[in-house]
Amino acid sequence: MSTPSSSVFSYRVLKLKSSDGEIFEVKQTVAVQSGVLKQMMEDGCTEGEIPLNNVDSPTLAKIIEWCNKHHDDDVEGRVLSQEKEKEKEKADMKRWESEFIDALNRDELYFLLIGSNYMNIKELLDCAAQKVAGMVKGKTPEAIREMFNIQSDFTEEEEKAIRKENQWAFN
Amino acid sequence: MKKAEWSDLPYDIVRFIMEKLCWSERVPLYLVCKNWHDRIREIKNTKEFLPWLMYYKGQKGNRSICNLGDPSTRRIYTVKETPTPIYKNRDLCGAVPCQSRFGWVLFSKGFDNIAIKHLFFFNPFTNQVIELPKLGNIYRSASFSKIPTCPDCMVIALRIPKTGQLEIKTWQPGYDTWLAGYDTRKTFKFSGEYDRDRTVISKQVAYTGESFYCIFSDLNRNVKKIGAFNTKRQEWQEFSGSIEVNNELNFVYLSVAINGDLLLVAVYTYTQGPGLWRFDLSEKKWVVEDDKILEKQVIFIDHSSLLNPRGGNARQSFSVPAIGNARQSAGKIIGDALILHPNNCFDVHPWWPPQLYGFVIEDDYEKLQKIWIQPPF
Repeated sequence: MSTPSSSVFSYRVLKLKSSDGEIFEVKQTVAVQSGVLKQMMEDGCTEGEIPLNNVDSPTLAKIIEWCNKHHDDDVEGRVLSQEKEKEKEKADMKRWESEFIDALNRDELYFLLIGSNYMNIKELLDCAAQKVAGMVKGKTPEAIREMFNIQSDFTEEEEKAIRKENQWAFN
Repeated sequence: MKKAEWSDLPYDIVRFIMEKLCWSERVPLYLVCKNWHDRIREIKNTKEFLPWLMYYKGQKGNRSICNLGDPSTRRIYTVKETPTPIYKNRDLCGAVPCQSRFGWVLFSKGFDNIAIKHLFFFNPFTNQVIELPKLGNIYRSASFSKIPTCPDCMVIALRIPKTGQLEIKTWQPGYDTWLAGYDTRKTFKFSGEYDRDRTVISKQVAYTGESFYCIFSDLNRNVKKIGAFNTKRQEWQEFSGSIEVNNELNFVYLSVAINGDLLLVAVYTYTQGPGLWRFDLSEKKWVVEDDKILEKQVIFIDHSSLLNPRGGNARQSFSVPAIGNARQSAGKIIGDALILHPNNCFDVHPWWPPQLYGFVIEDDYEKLQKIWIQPPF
């Protein structure tokens, strides 16, 4: 994940300001996982506080927890581990990721989706999206609406037409 | 913390979540709300290339019209009824599938499984039925070029009225009669033989680049030749050059390869590997095929005819790119109850290839009408 330019600002720290005004300090090597922050670093405009208007403090704390776990600035110094060890590390990480995501309530999951999308953190967005996909898979539209508090905005006729045109999927 | 408003989830995120699901898992979610419906419809397929299996019982009195087996979820879906009765019948009883493309199946009805008297389209995914005008005569083969709701789709029906002649009828959406310019049919000089088995135009028709390509037998049954009906010029042309297939009991399958050329697979008995040729469309000649082109695709053949040649199941064939869920089957030829490997060996299974379609388990399996069908995504 580290790019040639990232070593230049390895030990510098970014100040991220959440939408509710809280400041979080993050190492640049960690922040680089966010596509948006990486771009800002490359453009040299990370002086002072960086306002993240779409991310509140509980969500930003979660996002930073994820990024800290995933950042790999110590990997380069480490002797290449054996295949087996790598496999184990990968499996451990997968387990940590699913525990991290499973521990979120629905509101937290929602804001994590919004935040990781806004900050462009691909792996986190991927993991959160996979979680939601798993939650809706095989459920009826009614059950999903109830789960996420979504109101149907179809008219009765529209709903009937969709059922009729895709009858195989609704039996 | 603010309250989550799931119904306001940005479009990109909704689409991204939906892309994690298989198509058959996504469609039921159309009904959640308009945002989800519209995002799901925007998704381009990049993962699912294996065809589904459509099957139904040929007898009367079925409670359902047909079943659809999805290899991605290994689930079977049922189509119970259509808004309008299918061809004056309640179900597909007596109808024989000719060809499927883009989710549509062209069905024939006749007095036996081989004769084609009437044709109609049915799309089990959208429940649409399109009736075609009566054919008048008994035809032996029929095929279509594009989505049949598209105005420049063409349906052709072929028959051999007598030795040396080929008759072609064409139909296009929106017309209530068959058409062929000045006459309702066109007759061409034809070097194929009138065959007692009535399989001389062996149902092996493939459409590419404005033309329907047809495989037919020369005077010698084991010599196969190729001709093309150009839909724009309404002309039949036979190409010089032929190939010899080496067994009495052969079935040939013509498909469009993913490089755009035509591929011919000859299936012999269970003990022999398949014969494989490519018709190079730019040079207009036959080439014995090596494995290189095959490696990039999977060929599907509707193959019930080998078990039951008079069963009248579709004798179609098509290629899918060996990517996404079809990657593991690269280079294989997959048919009913068997997989052909390019290295000349056969796997024979009592059912569909178990690792792919083994979830389809039905009584009276051999009596079912079956056809590979690619969903319309």
